[in-house]
Amino acid sequence: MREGQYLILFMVSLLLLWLTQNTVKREAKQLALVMLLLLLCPVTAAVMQGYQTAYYTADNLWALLPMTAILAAGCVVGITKAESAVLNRQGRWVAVSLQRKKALEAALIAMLGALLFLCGKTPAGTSPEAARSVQADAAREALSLIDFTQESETIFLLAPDEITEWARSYSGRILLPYGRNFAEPDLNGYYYDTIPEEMTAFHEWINALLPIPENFENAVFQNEQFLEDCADRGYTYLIFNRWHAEENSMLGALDKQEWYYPAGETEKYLIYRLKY
Amino acid sequence: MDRNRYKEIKNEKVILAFFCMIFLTEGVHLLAIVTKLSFSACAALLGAFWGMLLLGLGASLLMHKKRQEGGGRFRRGLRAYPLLTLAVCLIPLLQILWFYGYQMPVTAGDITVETVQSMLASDGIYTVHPLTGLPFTEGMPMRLKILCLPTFYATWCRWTHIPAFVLVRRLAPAAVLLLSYYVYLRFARFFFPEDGKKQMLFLLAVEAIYQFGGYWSALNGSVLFLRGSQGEAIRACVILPYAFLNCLRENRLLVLACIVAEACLVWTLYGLGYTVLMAVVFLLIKAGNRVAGKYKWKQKKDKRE
Repeated sequence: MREGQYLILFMVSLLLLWLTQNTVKREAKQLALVMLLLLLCPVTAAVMQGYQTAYYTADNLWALLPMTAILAAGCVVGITKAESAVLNRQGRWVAVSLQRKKALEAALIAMLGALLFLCGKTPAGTSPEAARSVQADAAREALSLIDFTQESETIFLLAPDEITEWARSYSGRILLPYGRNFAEPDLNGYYYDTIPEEMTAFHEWINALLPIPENFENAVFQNEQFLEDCADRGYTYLIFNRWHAEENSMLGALDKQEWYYPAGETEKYLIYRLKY
Repeated sequence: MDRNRYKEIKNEKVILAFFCMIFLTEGVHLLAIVTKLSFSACAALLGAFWGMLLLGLGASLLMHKKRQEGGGRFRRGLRAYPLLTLAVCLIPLLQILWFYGYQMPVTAGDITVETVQSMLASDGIYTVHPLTGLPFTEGMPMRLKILCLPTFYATWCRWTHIPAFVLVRRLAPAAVLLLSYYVYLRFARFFFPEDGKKQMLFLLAVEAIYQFGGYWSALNGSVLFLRGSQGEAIRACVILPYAFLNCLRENRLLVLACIVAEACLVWTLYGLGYTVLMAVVFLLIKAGNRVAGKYKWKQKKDKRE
């Protein structure tokens, strides 16, 4: 079971609020019920999906359901009712000490907390997130080697996708020939601008996705050609994955070329800077 | 405006100040788009407006504190049910430390930080492509251009010198979380008036729902802890609950404020957002209740006759 547990709890809460006497206003329960029905009914859900346009996913519509307020109110009413049911056994009040009453309350709160915990999941802390964090740290370490001291200098960077992802959020001064919309096409929805077609070759080259010619000389020439093109376009910094830069044909091209010089290195990346 | 309604609004200065800031930002943001005003000029204007607003809010909060007798609600709660009050206050702090201090937020589909960085670096509002930093060739849709959230964050960055990444990914979600709890505190007082213990229990339940409700992207906990700085999170966790509360309190002015705030922050089909939908459904329910009431009254009258 992955989804829907809180929805069931919400329905139970709503039922509890309807069936018991409480201070929660009737309109609140009515709105919650109507919203639930509108979202569950396929016809009305489709109409609402049309209203919000296809730009957002259907999941977003569930924000309309006052789930947190009703569920929390249901929890409070549930605790109160359970407490009075225990204390008011067989229709008469049972005399209990204040300490016992408090212990009962604590037990009820703990039970409800356990129910919410078992039905749900803490949002973050999962392994993909941790992996992303390591990746972001490595990217930032590489970006920190760029020289930002000269205010007037343009910093034009060509780097693998995992660096491109973080480059613009690291500094607004870094310019990129294409953004992370190359790897994340959904982001193109924000703008009319498109990525020039010639960027595909640069993207494949810097990400080591371009097929390497079998002939070593040709492979070196291909890399040299790209390096020259980068210099012509004014890309002031190139960042390579270490394994990519240390591949034989790339190593040969980097040794032969005269446009870029090594500007720093990290455990994962090699940084080259354009000669002026 | 009747006295009770005025009192309600007066007690909600923090959220009203937030709305005012958003409206001011939207005004200046639109002005900048129309007149091609530089970002520095926008930030200066907004700084002056926000400064006055925050000074007023601070003074008003201080005066309110002085007027309180026998300590604030927090102190009274701490005396009456110390463990519950402490838990309610500590959990948000731990959540902020854990989620915004140690976890990496989800960046997929979100370009807020890049947009803020672009505004700061280019000194213009939407003059360069946020993902490349190069001037636009085709531009961007007007429906997105009118949203003021990046300008709001960029102005905070300009005035506080906090790096955009830290402000957008760490501090802003924390502020939205606290604002959301503030809205639910108002809910607690509305649902359980004069019962401090139930109010605390309500808040504790909200905190637990946020904490463990992360398995489904539509739940508030998931939205807040993974994408807390986005307009969608503000809508789901602050604007919609506040609109719901004001629908119940029949405070039309504040419902209208929520509708406008949503239009300023999230793309909403040119202003027709979720809050409008909620308000319309609520109005229909009220109308239905009125008709049902009249029908029942008529039936009773017929029986008596």
